[in-house]
Amino acid sequence: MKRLTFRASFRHENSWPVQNPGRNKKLTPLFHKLRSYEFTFSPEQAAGLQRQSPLKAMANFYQLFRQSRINRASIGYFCHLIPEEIILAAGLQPVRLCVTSSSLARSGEEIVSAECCPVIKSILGLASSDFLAELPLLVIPGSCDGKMKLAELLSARTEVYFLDLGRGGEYTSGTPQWAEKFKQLLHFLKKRYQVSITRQKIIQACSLTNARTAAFRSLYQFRAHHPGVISAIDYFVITSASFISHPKVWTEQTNTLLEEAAGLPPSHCQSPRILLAGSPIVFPAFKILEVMDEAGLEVAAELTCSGYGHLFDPVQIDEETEDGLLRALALKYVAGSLCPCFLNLNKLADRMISLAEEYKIDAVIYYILRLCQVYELQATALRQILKDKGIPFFSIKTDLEGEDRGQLRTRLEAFREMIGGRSDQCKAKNQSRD
Amino acid sequence: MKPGKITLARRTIQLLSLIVLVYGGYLFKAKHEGETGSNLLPRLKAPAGAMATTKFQPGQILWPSGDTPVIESYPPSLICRFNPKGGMFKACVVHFISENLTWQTAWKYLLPHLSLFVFLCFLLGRFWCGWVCPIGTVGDFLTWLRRKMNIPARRFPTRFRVSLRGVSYALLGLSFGISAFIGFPQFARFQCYWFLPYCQICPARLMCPVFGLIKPNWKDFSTGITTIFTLLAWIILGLFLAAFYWGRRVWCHLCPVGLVNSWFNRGCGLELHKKANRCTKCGYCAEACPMGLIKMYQADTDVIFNQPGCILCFRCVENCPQDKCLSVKLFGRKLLESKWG
Amino acid sequence: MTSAKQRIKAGIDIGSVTTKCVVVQGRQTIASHIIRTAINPEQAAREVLEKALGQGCLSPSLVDKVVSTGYGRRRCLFANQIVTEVTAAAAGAYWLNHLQPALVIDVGGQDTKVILVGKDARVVDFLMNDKCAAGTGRFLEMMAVSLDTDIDGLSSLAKAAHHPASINSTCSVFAESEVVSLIAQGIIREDIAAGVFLSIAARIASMVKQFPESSEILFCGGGAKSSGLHLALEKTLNRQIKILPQPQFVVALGAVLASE
Repeated sequence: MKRLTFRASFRHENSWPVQNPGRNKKLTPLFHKLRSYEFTFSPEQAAGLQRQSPLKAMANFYQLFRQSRINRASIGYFCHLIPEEIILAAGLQPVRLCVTSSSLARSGEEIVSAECCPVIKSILGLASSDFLAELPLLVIPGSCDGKMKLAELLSARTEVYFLDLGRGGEYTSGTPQWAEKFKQLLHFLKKRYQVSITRQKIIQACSLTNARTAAFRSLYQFRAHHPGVISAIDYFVITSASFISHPKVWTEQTNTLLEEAAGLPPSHCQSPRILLAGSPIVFPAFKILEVMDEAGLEVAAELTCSGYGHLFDPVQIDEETEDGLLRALALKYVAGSLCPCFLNLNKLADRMISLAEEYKIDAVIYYILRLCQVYELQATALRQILKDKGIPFFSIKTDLEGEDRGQLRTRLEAFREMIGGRSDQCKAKNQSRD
Repeated sequence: MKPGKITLARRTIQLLSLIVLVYGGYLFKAKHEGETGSNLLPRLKAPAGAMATTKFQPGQILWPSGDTPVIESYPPSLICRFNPKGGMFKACVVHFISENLTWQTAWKYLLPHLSLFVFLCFLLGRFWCGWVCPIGTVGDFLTWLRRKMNIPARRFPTRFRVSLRGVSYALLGLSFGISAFIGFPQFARFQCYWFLPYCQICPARLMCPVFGLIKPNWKDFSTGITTIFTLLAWIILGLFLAAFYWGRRVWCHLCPVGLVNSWFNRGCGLELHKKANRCTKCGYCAEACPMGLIKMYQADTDVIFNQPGCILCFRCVENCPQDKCLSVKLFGRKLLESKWG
Repeated sequence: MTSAKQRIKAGIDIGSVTTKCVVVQGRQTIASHIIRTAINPEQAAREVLEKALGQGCLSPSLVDKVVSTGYGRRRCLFANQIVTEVTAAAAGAYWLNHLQPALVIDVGGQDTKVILVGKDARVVDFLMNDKCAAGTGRFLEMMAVSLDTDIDGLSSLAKAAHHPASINSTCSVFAESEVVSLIAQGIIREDIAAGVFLSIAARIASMVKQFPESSEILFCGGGAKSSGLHLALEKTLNRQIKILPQPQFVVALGAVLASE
């Protein structure tokens, strides 16, 4: 019965979600000081851009971060819960604007207090630059409380579509609702941009993102099996590039990179193999990666929403009906999600255990961005579950600023000594003195 | 969307079995013409007395073949006797048991047929429903049509599916009960109307002859009982088509033949394994399941998943995006494994 | 040539406040020295090694191996090996505790560590306080300054307390203003000093309680020299806590032991 009325409702025009903030002109003064994007982003990003990689193909990815303004035919979004396929099917490019950067966070502190999540602050910092000047639409999911309020704050800057997916994350009860929300988004885009989004177009977009997933999976496995060839920093540059790159271009570039990397010998450095999980790690805030590298820990696999969460899951189309397509997307984005905003603690622990088995992981390092509550709250629970399985678990709480590098390094080195004996196994690298 | 390898294989096998099971009578007829079926297994005959009462009288809806099938036996997947020239097999297992309960056939004659049936079921469980049953193939075709017409599938809650299974048990119990009851000489007079009671209302009885371009005996209003049976058969055929069209394989929860097969599902040669710590609970397995089962999705520990409802179509294995999460084992040997891409 | 067992080794612990050096022959400590870490950690390391050797009348050429640890460990360019202070503290405490597993609390100048030491001085698990100075030696120093005394004075003040004041702020900056407001309220210094110790002890106790019950709790680092903190910890945890001999040198000694 429900589905029938639901289908019928879309023949009428007035079924747009009521909670959509749209554009809020009252808040415009919040962003009164728009600064140049290059200026805001400067020191850290410049350092990031000049980073040398032994792989030539990495230049393609670094190139992406040199753009100073977002394309007019793009739709911005946050988190890995927004169906990119629908946006692609509408002929637009989805751009994930999640960013972590200490300089952007500092400029975000002019809008909200310093005691806020660094990701939110960075995003606000980005919004107070002219990077988003031409962005017509932002799609923001109600993943965490921060993102929800962000939707209202950013409605000062541009039109915002809020996509509330609930907190259950359970297939049986949630799928119809998620599919309905996605359907609303689809019809909203149709109306907003006056485009037709046919099933065929969605299926094509799915094959694009599935090709991207395939490329990502080979990258992921290549890194796990060939330590030292593609460094963790290179890897996260690649995954961050997927946020702003077209899936097709990204797939090609990644495959080129993999071809090049296949020719290089893996390192013989027997560093402990780490599964890095937790808060998002996005260009250019790679402090944790740099410190881990200094401490002689090899990130063999990762489980963050900026890499694995964003790219690992494919769309598996069961039925090519409109309903079937939207449900398939809902399953990819919401049911399969490892975002801590959903009830999925055991699932996340299972993922860690199975990745640890698969890639011979020595320990799990859980990276918590300070003031990112959901990640912090589940750390002790994960620690308990992994302890029973005999997998060392170490949580690191830090923020984007660099002042605790020394402390972090001591902790990580002590952790390395704890899990991998006391002697440095890869002396040349680890004993380098700064 | 291109179907995956497992679906392609399944469709091929389904089509082949449809041809062999339905048209087998025509295809292999020459060989067996004039013979009394295969001599491998004993031919089951109505006792002399019973034949008199089960002769095709005007009041009887059922119109069984008078001729012999190619193989005189009863496969685990449903095929209905319909062909005047004799089909590939004689009939389905419900027909077989009902008929022989009425005839009170001696065990020693039944044993070879029963053991063949049980052996096949033990071998592959409800695999027969998923990959061979021609009625299921027809249903899958209807589902395919619906998908082409962009009509969403209906998904039914677990409670509904469980109650369908209850109805199935009731149908099977009634069918066997009535058949046994009318087998006793003092109730033999009921045989002319109540012989093979489930078959009277079975949608396959109306559908199978259509494949052979034969008009089924689709209406009989000669007496009160036959009128009721006719109307019931129409309603159930309607439900059957609707169920396959909107509800994918939800009908198979009701099918009494499937019910008998499902008794062997647990512990049969084919096993469906899940490795729980590889699962991301994305629900693609539950989404793809034509029977609408969600236990596979729900399982939090490593399990062998052979639920009675499972028709072992392996769509879940095909659709699982996690490598090595779901796998199929045939007598302990790994046959298939989920592998994305 | 001395045998492998009798080699002379030096362990240097370059902390944020003090730099410690222990010279060991075999398993015997033959000299030790402590100085304040000035601006240049390397300079401090050289100086402390020289002084320790001078104290033991040893020539620098006799030292076979130098192991550095502590915050400035990578600044000590002449060190042959580097270990982290966590591993070093575990090794030192394990040795001094007669090779028995225990839980080690190390209160240093800049951070506090709680280390669960297992068999063979293996670090089973450890916790370090966050980047702020709350619950560390630095916090004690600041509080002592607010109360116009030094760390030892703080302990003797605390002993005379009858009704310890409650200090809720764990941040050293806020705690300082809290102390000032307590003084303004007319609460006596003794009670405030006891409150300071209790507030640090509560902070350390919350770290200790994250570990399983241990047979013994050992206390080392500069903080262990403060009897007030020791008493407050014992009171808060309601257990006996053993102060290791020469608590400030445990990590430097451990560095030598851990390097083997």
